[in-house]
Amino acid sequence: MTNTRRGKDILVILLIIVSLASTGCWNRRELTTMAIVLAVGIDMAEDDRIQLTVQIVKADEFRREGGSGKEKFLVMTSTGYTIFDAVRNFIMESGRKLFWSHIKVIVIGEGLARDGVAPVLDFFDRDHEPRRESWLLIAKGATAKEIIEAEHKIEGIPALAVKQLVEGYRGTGIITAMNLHHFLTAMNTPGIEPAVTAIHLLKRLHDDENKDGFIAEGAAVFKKDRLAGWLDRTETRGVNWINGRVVSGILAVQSPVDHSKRVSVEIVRSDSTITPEYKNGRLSVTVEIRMEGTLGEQLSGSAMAIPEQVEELQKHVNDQILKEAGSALAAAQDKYKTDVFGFGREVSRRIPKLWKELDGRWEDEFSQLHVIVRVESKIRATGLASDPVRPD
Amino acid sequence: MFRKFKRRLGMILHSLLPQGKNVQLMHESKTDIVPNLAVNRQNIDERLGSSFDIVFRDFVITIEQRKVPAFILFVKGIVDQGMISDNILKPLMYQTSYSQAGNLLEGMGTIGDLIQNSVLSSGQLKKVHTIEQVVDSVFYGETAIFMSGCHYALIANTQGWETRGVNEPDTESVVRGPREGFSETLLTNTSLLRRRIRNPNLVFESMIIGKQTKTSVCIGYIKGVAKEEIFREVKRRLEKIDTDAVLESGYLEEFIEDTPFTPFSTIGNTEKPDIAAAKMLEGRVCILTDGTPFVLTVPYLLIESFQTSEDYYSRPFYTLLLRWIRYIAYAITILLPGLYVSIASFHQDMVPTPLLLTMAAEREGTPFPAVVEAIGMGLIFEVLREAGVRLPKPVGQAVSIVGALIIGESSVRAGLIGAPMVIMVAFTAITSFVIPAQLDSGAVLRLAYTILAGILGIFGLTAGVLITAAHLVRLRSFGVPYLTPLAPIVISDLKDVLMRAPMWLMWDRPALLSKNTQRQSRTLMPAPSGPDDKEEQT
Repeated sequence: MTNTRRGKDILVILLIIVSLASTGCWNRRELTTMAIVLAVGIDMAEDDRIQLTVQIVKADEFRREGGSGKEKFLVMTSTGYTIFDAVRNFIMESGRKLFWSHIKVIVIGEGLARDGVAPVLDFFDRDHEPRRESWLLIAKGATAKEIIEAEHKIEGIPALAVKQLVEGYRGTGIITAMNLHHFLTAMNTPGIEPAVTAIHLLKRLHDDENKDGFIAEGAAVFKKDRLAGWLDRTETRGVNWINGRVVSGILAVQSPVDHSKRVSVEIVRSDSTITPEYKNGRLSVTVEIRMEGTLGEQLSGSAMAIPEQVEELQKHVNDQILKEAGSALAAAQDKYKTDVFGFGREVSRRIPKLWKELDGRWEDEFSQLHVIVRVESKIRATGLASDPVRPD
Repeated sequence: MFRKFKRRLGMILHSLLPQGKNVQLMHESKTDIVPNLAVNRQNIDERLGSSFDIVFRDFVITIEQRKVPAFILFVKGIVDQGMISDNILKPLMYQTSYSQAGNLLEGMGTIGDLIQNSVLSSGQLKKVHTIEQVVDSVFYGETAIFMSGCHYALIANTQGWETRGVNEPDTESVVRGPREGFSETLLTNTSLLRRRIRNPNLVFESMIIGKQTKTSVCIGYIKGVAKEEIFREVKRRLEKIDTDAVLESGYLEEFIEDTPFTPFSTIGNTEKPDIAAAKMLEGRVCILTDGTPFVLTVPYLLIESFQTSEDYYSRPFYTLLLRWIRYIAYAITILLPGLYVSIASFHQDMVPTPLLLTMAAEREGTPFPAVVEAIGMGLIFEVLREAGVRLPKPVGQAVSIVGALIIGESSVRAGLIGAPMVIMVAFTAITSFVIPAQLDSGAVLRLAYTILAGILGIFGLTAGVLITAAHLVRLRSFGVPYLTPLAPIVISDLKDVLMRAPMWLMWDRPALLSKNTQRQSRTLMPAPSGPDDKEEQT
């Protein structure tokens, strides 16, 4: 055996050892020693502390047989000066180490959100267990703890219900679904501000203490990492129209044949282009919204299948979308002065030279910005019936 | 690195062996046959001792009033006694008295020649000159004839013993295809192959291996298809074997392997003549051993474990599906327990939440870590399997009841083992039966991967798979890379790996196995006769 061969052998052994040692976090932990966290709520507590509320799965209750029919989840609360401090304080109560990789939902209380969320999100960004795909929600008119504690009627685990709400409704545009990754990106990108789904307690919303549960609707508008205010569902959909994120849902517009009745238009797809333009020392932004839909339902008694009527209907749809987009622009530009549409980002991409000037004072510039919205909608089909259902 | 390790190991093993190669158990001395019957008899007695099944029968040959004393020697039980009495004793005792004795008087040779030429009607008859040859022959069921005045003995073929007929083998059952299987008798086995390949190019070369057992071993190959160097290598390795006994072809297998330290078998075996014939037709060499129905085939490639004879007897479409099911089943059977263990103990973040919740629910309250559960259940399964194989069939039922009900159901009920583990072990077990040829490598790898996964998680599993891959690439079977035609890649041979190409597309024999790779013409695709083939219709 030659020397080089031996050298090669040693190299191979070294490589194996090095690669074994350099794989980073290595830890064997059995499923039975950990508590799976599905949702976490973050609030402010007295004395400059942070209050953490977690929803933990009771694994035993998931057994097909032998489940005692009790609640499938457990809510625990802990406080600490930092998030990690609070996290470690849980162990004293739970005995098991919390497992963060399957967090579906992070809820932030309104109070904390107004003070700034960046400090409390650092843990979820830095630690290796939590994923950046968890949905971020802001509790409106409630603490995060109250949301985490609320039960859901269908889903055994409320966290999964929230996840389904967000994932099911994000296409309709009445919420602005944002996961942790999107939020952190939007927060760090100049020229765009995050808008996060708002979550309400039903009992607060209806002022009825007997109502259980929660509803995800509207959006929380941020300026940097601080909550600036709220958008209602119409304004939220306006934001989503401008950003081209509405892919389903219903538009109930005035019927072209009978102005007292309404017609449902089912949204099939939509997209948008945002074009900033700098002319004669004046910046303007043109938003073009294209939408395709089908006639889903009509309440008037007369047939509506001829092209003229469909054209008329398209005009009504255009007006409706324009109205929604306008309300969103009004709220963002006048009320909160925060660019949730990302117009600034678009300017920085298209006219980088100009953006260098505007970067520092974009907030003022945005509120004065001249925005032109054009809507073009197409009704592709009128469904299976040409005549409406009516008694004869 | 592994090679070096192996060399070391080999050296250690070698040092344990007795030094000095001249350990000679066989006596080289030769004793000639002499014309004196009594001396011959004494010489034979010295060698054969007093076994009860050795028979001497004295009689007298009468030729023209001359009486020649003679005796025959045979071993009871391995000869056909009717044949001896009809074909040897009767002609010698009665027919000689009135036969053409004139030949002898005219000096046409000795009595022995006369008897060989004119009296005995036995199909095979030969002369031998030493007692040793006689002894060897009688143990093959032949009969030796000693005559006074002759310095040689006549050996007549009178073999005849109880044999198992040609039955359907239990190990390789088929739905479609021949049901014949090899039997324990070498000659039956060669005849089964001859009947399939009626071609003078099919050559059987015979040799004797085993100093005590003197087992007949026969190398079969097709001249012009098999590579000579492979055949020569087989012969060379077989000739080197210097052992006491060969009771089964497995004895030979371990002496002629390329790499003894591997869980993968580099020598194939089959119980079915159609499979052996097909392998020879691809250029492989068969080794038939007397006393076992298992015929060895070399070179043996990994891919052969995934091919069955039925793949070629049924249409290619379903075969395509089955092939891939077998590949996937093998992957599952070696990887699944390791994967489960690494997910349950290391990478809980890798599974979808609903699955994790179910897993967590089932693991709740179980006392052992996942790796212990997996290894324990794996061992229990191996125990059950072994018990099922060894027990007589009627008792085997009891094993499956105990295994399935008590261990499976009750241990889950009692909370000793999680239900997913039972499901997984059961699934692993069933998938392992899909590839019977890799049953042993599968069990070894599965255990190794489970342990690796229990220590290092997915990383350990990946390391295990990579090491196995490196090992497989290095393996050779009689000089042919074990992973052929995948590594080295032989594009034309992939037709029988990724799929089973239709017969009319199987133009070539495997490139690295056979000498002459052209199998058939390339224009055999079936088509209905059109207007262009008028001459065919007439």
